[in-house]
Amino acid sequence: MRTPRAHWLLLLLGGLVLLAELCLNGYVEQSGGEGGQPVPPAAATPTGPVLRVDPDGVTTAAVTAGAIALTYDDGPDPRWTPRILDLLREHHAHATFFVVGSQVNRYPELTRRIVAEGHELGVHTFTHPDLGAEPAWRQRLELTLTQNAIAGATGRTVRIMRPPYSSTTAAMATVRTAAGEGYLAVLTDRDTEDWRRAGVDAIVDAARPEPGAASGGIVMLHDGGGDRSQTVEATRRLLTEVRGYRFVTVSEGVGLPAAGAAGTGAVVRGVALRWTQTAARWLAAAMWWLIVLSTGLALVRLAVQVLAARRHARRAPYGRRYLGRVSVIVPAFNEAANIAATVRSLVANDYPDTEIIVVDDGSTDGTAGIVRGLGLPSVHLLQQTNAGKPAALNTGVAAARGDLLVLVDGDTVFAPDAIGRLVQPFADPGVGAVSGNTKVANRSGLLGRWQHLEYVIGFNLDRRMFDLGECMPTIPGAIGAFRREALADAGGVPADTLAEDTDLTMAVLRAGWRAVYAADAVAWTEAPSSLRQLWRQRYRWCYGTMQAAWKHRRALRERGPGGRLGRRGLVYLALFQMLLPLTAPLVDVYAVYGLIFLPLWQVAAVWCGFTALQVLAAAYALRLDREPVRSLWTVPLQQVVYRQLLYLVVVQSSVAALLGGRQRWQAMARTGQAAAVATTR
Amino acid sequence: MFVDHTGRRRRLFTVLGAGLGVLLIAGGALLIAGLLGSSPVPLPGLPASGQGGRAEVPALRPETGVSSRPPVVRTTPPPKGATPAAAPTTDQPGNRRTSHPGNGNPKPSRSK
Repeated sequence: MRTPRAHWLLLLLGGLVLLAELCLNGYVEQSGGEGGQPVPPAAATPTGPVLRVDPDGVTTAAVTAGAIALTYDDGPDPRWTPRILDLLREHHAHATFFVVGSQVNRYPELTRRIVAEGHELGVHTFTHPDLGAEPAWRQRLELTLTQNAIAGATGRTVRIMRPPYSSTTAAMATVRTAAGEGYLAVLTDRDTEDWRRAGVDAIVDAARPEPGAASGGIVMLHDGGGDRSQTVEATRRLLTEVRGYRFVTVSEGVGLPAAGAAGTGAVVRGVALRWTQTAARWLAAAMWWLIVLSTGLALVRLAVQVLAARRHARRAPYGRRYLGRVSVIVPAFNEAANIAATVRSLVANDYPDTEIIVVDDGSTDGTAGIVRGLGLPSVHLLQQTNAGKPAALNTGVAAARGDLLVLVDGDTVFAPDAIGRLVQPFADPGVGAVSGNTKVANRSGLLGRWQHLEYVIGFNLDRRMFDLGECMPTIPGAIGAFRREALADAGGVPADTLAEDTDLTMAVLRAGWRAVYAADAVAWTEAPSSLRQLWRQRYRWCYGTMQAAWKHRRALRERGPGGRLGRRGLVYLALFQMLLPLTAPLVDVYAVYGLIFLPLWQVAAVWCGFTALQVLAAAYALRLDREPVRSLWTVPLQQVVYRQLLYLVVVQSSVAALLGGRQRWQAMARTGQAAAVATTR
Repeated sequence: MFVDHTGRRRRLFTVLGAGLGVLLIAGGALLIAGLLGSSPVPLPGLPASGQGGRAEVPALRPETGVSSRPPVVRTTPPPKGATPAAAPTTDQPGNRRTSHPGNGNPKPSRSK
């Protein structure tokens, strides 16, 4: 089967769309209303309530005699606008609403009601920014989006606008841009500053026409952006107390024709904008909860790991007893680079009765010759035509004479006391399998250090936790020991997954045995030294683990040791090695969005907090393992390449599993660096 | 494990994936469409008459015959005098004055 690729395109596209939606939502969320810091005094107010700016100059118009034009900015607002509309209807009065486009998108029904009841709409930008300081393209965008939103909601076009913070001189820049887009600017005669909430009396006094004035002029009020109860009350009093004036819309007041119908294009764009804004709001909310959830899970996991590791590390150490003959089985396929070092390190072990069996699985690089050439009488060499690692292991197990079986990868170098320490837990007759402690031999370079840290954390935090919880999902193929009986109960080494070590461990647990961790049984292994090699290795591990977990899914409902594996181990794997990595790309998209839209200190605080926690956990794991802490500086850097590689592997594995292709075993190209370790340690 | 012998699962997920792709493209298209704007429309003229409603603007152009230039032509704000500050905000109609910064630099008006 062809390796699936289309999902990468989907992932990229999804990430881009998500980022764009988040950015749109972030842009909209910035919107507010008049308020905050007080604006400069009205002395700077430019002339003329209705301004027509063209290259030849500014012409103005005012409200006709006998009329008063109430205007409401910053709405529509679901709480206050309907009350004002009710009052206006009650008094057969008309007014003008300078609406904020993003609010129109949120409350299209309300916007339609404004128009349906004979009032006029004006543009008050999309997000109510202080536009005077913004570049012209941003000013135009704010106008366009609002025009679209109004067209989408009401099917009408709008030709009047009022810039936010219109009482400032900076607003004139916006007025000029708006004129270029075809808008008349509507400023005000009477700014009530009702948003300061100085009391209903103050608002009414500011709005009331001068005694004997011919025209009531344009009165600025606000129906959105905060608590507008005073504005509602002031409106009621104005409508009842101001006698002798007609309450008109701005266009009516200055004798302009009413706005016409919007073109189909604008309506379509407006509806698209509304849908997008709505989708963006839902997406942003969902993302927020995802971040909260995954952060919470990560913190709980870390706490459990550290507490479990502490308890495990304080247990009494295993003794050093003789527990009967141990057979060490080394399956080897093209391991010429490391096999000599592996075998020598095994022969040099201090456990008294050790039998070493190398099973050459049809190597083509002279692996068998190397073993034979070592001339070690205690090493038995078996050869078979290439049949895969599980088959090689089973061949070795069949030939072994010991009751305790140590399974070793052909690229692993054992510490001199590793075999003896590894088998000590078998003193307990309930223990069926023991995991040793694998360490990365080649720790130079960033990739080597990253893997070293990952191994140390994985072994010293995860595995200690699994040991206490009696739910160890994997005894690593690099250094693990099995009781012959347990291996037989599991039906030998299974060959139907890519991760035979995980599969075997799960089968042993489900057969009723315990699996424990011997931290002091140390072996060094060669870690992939290129991203490509690492990708292949992790793909095999991840896909194999998924296969094994699926194969043993019935453990979820079992009793006893199998149930513990199912409900603790499998759930842990599903949550932290599948579901969270699958959502990790979304978290990264959110991080990019955060860099653009969230306050820098907030992003920095979250990032530093998380990195500090990771560094502390890694430092604790290193200390448990008596490893130097100097590689800790690479932890913050894991966020950029390593993290992505690890989660993209899970994506690839999940897609491959869903599509159901056959996966080939992808062997790693060995360079012999584990062997180099044996000579230096 | 996981091998799809009949090919049905593969087909199902290929279709689902294609559906998701279409959905994403539609979402992206909506997003872009919503952000697009129409080209500027001509500035509506203010009514030439209207009781007390008009500012004293001698050089007022006939409304619809004049298409406004985009404001780009005036990159600097008009001189101080262009926006008569301290205009009393009392509402005597017609008390507003506007001077014409454009007069010193007349732009030819395009006629339709």
